[in-house]
Amino acid sequence: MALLAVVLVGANLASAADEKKTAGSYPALVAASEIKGTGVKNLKNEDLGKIEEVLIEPDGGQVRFVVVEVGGFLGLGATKVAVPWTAFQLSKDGNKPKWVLDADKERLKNAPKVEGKNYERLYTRAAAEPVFVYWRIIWVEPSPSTSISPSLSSSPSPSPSP
Amino acid sequence: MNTTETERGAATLLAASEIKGTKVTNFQNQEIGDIDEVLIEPDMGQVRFAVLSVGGFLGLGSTRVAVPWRAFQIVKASGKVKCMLDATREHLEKAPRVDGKNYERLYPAAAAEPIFVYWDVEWIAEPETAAR
Repeated sequence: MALLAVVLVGANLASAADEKKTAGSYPALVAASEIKGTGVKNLKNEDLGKIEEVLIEPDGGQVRFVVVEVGGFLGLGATKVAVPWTAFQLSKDGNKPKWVLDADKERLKNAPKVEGKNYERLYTRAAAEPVFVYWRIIWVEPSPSTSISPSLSSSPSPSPSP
Repeated sequence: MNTTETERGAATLLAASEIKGTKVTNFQNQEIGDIDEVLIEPDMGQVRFAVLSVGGFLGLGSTRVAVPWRAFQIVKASGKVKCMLDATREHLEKAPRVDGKNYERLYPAAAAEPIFVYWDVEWIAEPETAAR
């Protein structure tokens, strides 16, 4: 009986922790084709613009940048800026993700711009890393094509068993 | 999968809106279908699956299967991005299907991991999942 009680308490704690972790994050896969046109707000709930494109690093499949079209908010006409995916906070808003970016007008105004559809330019580290630095996101070198990077595969953390 | 460094790599970023409809061929150079959707893990922005719409190749009518991104070989040939997948008709026939747009189902590790196993791609738990 005592053992059962311990197990139950343990289960409760685990589910509470799960809930805490998922709060404020989006608990589903995001369909790329549904992202375009999605509005982005800042922490003050001001509209910053809308998402124009999602740029994927081909080898590992990491989304590197989200291209945001900044509208009249800046009073500068339409401008496009590249923002690392992890700079956004995604949360659940009905059946769709809500996109929030911690940025005020000044920050967007000075952000690295994207000209046209010349996304190839953003592929090289030399071009991409400053964008990450601007948005205070740690640049992670894309993993090599087929294998997991050595630091990951030699990591002592055990993989969870189902 | 015997992939070499030189075969792989498109040396450009792929625009998600342009991936849809990209033709996928297998190693026998048969056209097996086209990419219908790209599904992104929200926290880190890792593409987990590409949903492949398998056309008449199977003789089964249109079928959609979820394939881990890393199962594809993406190459750039004469300026165009090309997607290759090491999959015979038989392998596709038995592959885990996707019904409709119910992508939420593919989010939990319990649903996603078997698909990685099927395609022989190492499942990497999201940091969040791993921490549990």
